[in-house]
Amino acid sequence: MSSAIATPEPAQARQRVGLAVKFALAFLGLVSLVLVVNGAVNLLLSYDEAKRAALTVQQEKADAAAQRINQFVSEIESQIGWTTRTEWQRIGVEQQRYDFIRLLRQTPAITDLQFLDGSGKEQLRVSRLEPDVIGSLKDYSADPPFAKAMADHIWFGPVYFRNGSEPYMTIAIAHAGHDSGVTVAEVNLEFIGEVITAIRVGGAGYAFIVSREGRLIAHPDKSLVLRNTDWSQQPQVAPALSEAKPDGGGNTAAIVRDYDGKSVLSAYAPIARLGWIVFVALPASEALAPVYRSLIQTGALLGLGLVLAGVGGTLLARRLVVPIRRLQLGAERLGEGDLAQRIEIKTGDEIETLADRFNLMASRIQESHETLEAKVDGRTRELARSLEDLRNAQDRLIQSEKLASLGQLTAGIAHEIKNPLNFVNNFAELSRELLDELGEAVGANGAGRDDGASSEIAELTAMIKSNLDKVVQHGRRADSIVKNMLLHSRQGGGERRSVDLNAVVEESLNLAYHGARAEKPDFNITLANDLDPAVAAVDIYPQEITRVLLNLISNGFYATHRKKLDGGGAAFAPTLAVSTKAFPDRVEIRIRDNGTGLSEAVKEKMFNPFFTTKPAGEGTGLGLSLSHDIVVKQHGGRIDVESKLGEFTQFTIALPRVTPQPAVAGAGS
Amino acid sequence: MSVSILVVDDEPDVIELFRQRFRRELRSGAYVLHFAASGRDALVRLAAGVQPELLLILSDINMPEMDGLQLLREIKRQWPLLPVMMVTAYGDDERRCAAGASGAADFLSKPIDFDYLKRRIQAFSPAAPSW
Amino acid sequence: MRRRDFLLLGVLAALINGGPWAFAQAADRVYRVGMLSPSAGAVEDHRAILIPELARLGFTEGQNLVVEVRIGRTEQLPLLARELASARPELVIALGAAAIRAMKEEASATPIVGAFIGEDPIAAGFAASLARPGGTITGIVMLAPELDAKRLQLLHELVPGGRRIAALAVNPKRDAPNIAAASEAAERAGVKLLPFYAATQGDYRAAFAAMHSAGVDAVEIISAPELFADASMLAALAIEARLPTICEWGSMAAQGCLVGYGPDRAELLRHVADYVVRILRGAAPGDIPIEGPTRYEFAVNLKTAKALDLTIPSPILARADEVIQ
Repeated sequence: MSSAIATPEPAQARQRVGLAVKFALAFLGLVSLVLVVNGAVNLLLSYDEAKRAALTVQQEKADAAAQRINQFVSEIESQIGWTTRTEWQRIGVEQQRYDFIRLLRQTPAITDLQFLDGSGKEQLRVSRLEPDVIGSLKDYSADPPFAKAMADHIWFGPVYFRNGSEPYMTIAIAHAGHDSGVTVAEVNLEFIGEVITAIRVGGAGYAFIVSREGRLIAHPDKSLVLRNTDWSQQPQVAPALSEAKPDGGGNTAAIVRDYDGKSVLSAYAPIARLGWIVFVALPASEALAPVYRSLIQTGALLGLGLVLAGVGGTLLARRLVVPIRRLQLGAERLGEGDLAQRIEIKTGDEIETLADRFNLMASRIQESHETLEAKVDGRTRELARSLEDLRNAQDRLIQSEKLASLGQLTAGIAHEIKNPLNFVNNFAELSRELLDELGEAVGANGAGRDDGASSEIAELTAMIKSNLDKVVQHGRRADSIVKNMLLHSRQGGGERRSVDLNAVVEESLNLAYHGARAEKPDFNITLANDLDPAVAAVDIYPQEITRVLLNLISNGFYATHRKKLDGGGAAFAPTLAVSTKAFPDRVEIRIRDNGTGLSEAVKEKMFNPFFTTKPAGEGTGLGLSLSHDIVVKQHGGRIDVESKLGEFTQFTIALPRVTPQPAVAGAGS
Repeated sequence: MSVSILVVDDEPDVIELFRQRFRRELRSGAYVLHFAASGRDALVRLAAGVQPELLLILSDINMPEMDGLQLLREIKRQWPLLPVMMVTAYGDDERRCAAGASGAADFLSKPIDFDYLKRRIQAFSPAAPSW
Repeated sequence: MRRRDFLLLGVLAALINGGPWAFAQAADRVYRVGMLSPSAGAVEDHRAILIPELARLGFTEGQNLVVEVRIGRTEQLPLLARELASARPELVIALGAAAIRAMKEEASATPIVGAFIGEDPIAAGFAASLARPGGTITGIVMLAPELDAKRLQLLHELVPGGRRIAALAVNPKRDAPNIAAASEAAERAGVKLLPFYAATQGDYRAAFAAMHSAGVDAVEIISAPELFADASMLAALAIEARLPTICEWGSMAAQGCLVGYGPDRAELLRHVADYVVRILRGAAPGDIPIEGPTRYEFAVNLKTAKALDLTIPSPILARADEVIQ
């Protein structure tokens, strides 16, 4: 099963080709097999048939030729027969001559006619070339024509040649009746030659006649005849002479070599009564032409069939395999992640259905994928935001903790120092008071004493008082420092909650103002506030923000006070303006004073811890640093400063309006 | 009638401080000061009975063992009518609230404002002479 | 792929159907054939059959065949033969034994087709045997003397009462065998044969006058190409002389002879064409057997008979293949 999951590319490619090829080959093979079997069988059958047909036809031709020749001779025979009827010998010589002349005219083949009477004496002779002879009474009784005719009624003589070049044959027919005589006719076999020549045997075939002895009687090539050729040994003729049935029948056709050495299909038919054998020969190539033709035809058809099968098979295979391949490809691509992949198949069959289902599945996958992606995106974004928030919160927490621990530390220190300081101050004050009482006691005791001791006591007492004053003074200073520290590092420990920011601002302002006035009664400043009602409720740590505001406002007070003291003069009107402004995502608090302003060097360092422009003992240098941390780290806001040396200083605090709460399913921003 | 006050503080110098601050009153006998160094000690003294009768108790909050708030609760449990004022270096709201919730009569931060203290004592004892 | 299949199929089909297997004869060559004859009329008559037959067999005069003809009297034949020979013909058709002889003398290598060989070729030295002549001469042999003898007999039958029969020939030397054969036949028939010779046309009238004065009963026009050519002239003279005639060729009866008996001339000439074609196609004349006629024509002119006031005996009429009315 694992192989199905991780199919290597080459195997797939092999498979892909294989299917189409397999199918095509199978188809081709099947068709080829059928065709080959069919073709071979056909071929064999048709060859067999054609051959048999050729042989049969050849035999038929031979028979026909023989028939024709026989017919020809029979014609002559019947013509001669006219003169052999009974009573002919009694008709009178003139009539007989007339009959003979007419016979000559009717039968161009006959050259000479002889009437031999019952004893073999020539009574009449009519010739085309020779002069007619009447009543010569020459004795021909011993000659074969007379003798044989008398015996067998009809005699066909052997072929002989006149002038060495004209083949002739004697036909002798006995007259009807007993001892009535014989008509002897000399037949010019040239006419047979014409018949033989006229016999069409196919295209290049021919017929010829041989005598029983194998002598050529008639042939289209007359010269062969005239040479009185003996063909009894010819391979074409020999078998006929040895095996010929006297009355023919059977198939004698065979492929032999003729006198020229050519391969011919030869058949023969005997004309028994003449003692002739008629041959018909057809060049083997021509005879077998139909066979070859059918061979070629079958072969061509087979070839064509194979080609068509091949083409058809390939096409069909492709038709079938291409959709399957497409399916495969589509599935691959889908598997690789191309979710937009759709398969286009319109074959109108199960494969199309499969493709449609596939497409449906793919779209569903795509949909859910997109949805998933969107969801994942959303979640990721949320998570990122949450992470951001968490980090911020973490930072703030850390900051708070730091602050807290710092605060705790400083608070701890402060508290610890406070106690001894307390005693220092108290006892110093008490001591001062006791000195006063001492002075009184001394005065009461030594009133009027006007000696040096009184004045020394008085001097000493004054010095001790002065010392104690200094102790008290420095003690108070130390106390003040501690208080400042405590003030700055006091941990409200409050939670972030939604408070009316404007209210906090106002409260801070008041606090600061009253506080400043309580410390320095001659402190005066003009306050302005411009609070945007749209600010409304903001999520903050109220105590910390209050501290920040107090810090900044008191810095402002200090700056303006300084300016006034330094040279602002009576004309200078110290002002501090506080404003809030609401924005969709934040609120801004501005604190502007027209005090001494800040130089660039100061601006750079002002948020550093323990940096202060106040003289020693007046500031801890922690205020701005703490404020910065509260605003930026605890609230995730900004604190900016603008200033022109000698003119003004403006602090802008930007607090983010809504803080995303961590770990809750939140909408976007 | 003398104003009888019990001061509870683990710091020994507090005794001298109070004695000097209230020297005139002590000299005149208007005030009688008692001192306990720990909450436990204070409870023991209270249980034994303090003479003259206490007007109020001043207690520090930050003390080892029993802190001032615990003492306050204890005192209030046993002697609910006895006013207790808390004195501490830590002036945070939390302690203030806790003290108030536990029944503290007042909440003073160090360094003690003795004038204020004298006034508050006077408030509790109108018979006490005002100096 | 498919188109190729069809092409292949087409080629196969063409092969199967035979295709262009019958190629035209090598018609590029022009064959030169000569004709030598003592008689213009004979030449004309020959050509009338020969030329179409040759065309039928693939040799068309004007396309691939040129026929050079020379005509002259017997004495002129050798010169004419030489002329012909210089034209380098493939073969020469020689009309009559004299022409053959003349040609043979002048161009022994040129094949000669005798149309017709009037005497025994073997005796004349033209051929070793009829079946295989062996030399350069072949053609149709017409044993004219034999036929002349037969004709005499027939003439005798025509005019049974006739005692004297004239034989008109051209050249006593050349035609001697014919005269001899006829004489012999006459003797056997019991009549006397009187030969007459007319060397040229101009001699015909004188010949007939001589016959008339000799008191002949009939005339046999001996086998001679000249006499064949002038058949109508002779026939007219014969009718004028009130002499029945028997002529060499069946066609001569149509021209006025009373009877014409001879071989089928047309058939013979077609056969001659066959000889010519075989030699032109490369056969050696010595291998082509010399053949004789197979068919004979017997023609009777009844008009002439009427003019002569003669009744044709039925045996004669019975022989007639053609009767001219």
